[in-house]
Amino acid sequence: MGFNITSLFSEIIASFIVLLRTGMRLIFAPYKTMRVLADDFDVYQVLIILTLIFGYYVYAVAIRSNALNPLLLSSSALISFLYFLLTFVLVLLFFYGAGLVLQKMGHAHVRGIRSLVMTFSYSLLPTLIWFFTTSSLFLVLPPPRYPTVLGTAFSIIFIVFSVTLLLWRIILWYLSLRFVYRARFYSILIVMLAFGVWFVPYTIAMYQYGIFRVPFI
Amino acid sequence: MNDKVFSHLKKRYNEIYSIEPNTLHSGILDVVYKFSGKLMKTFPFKLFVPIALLTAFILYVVFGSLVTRLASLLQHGF
Repeated sequence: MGFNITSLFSEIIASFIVLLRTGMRLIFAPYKTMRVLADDFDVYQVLIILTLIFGYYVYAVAIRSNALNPLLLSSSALISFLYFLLTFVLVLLFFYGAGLVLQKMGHAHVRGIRSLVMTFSYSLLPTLIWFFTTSSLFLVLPPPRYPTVLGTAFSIIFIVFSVTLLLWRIILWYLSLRFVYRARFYSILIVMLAFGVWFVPYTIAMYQYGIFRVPFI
Repeated sequence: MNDKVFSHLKKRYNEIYSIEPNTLHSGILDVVYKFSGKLMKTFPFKLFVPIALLTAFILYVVFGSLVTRLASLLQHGF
């Protein structure tokens, strides 16, 4: 069987269209969509999401450094992206391990790691939208905000936007665990709290080392 | 019932019963969970946006113009 570039290209395009459709469905029917995603692994869709995240890092570096030097952009963005990948892999390993522990205790029937990778990649979409929007707003309306009428109004709208996406992110996170673990609410809640036990100090450490301000997760 | 309809129904049945129904072991909590779950299954933003508006309103009432500092911090967060 030879390598066929045309077929690869058409598969990537098809996966991109599916990704757009699934992204829309996550807005209108997150429960049903996550249930389908837990049963459906497509490496191209995962790779497209990761590519979009890398694209975000290039964009963010361009905005932060206010430069379009391709060498600077690609090297800085690549470093940030590698830190993101490291965090993402750690998070996946934690949740997979936690799922296996729950399963051993008889509280879950864990699907494979592919299911976790697929649902978790999709649950990064709200994060991606927030980071893209925030960096674009940084360009259009650079901070700081001042306590004027316009400044306060913008701040309130921005907080509403951020909280809305945060809630969406939390629901997608919960649904991923619900369908991947096939566990009940309390078991999932305990795993989520256990995640916070190591992830909060991890985030603070990353902030202190100047790697992340808000973790991309 | 033809094979196509049967296999479709079987697939839907397997999808729906792929996970056990949730129980929180408390009458009130079960009612809250089921009610909010129902709202969140389709277009959950009808719940998220009011919650976010309420959160922003409470933050503004409690901290006043400090919300502008929070927004500035978040804007630096990317």
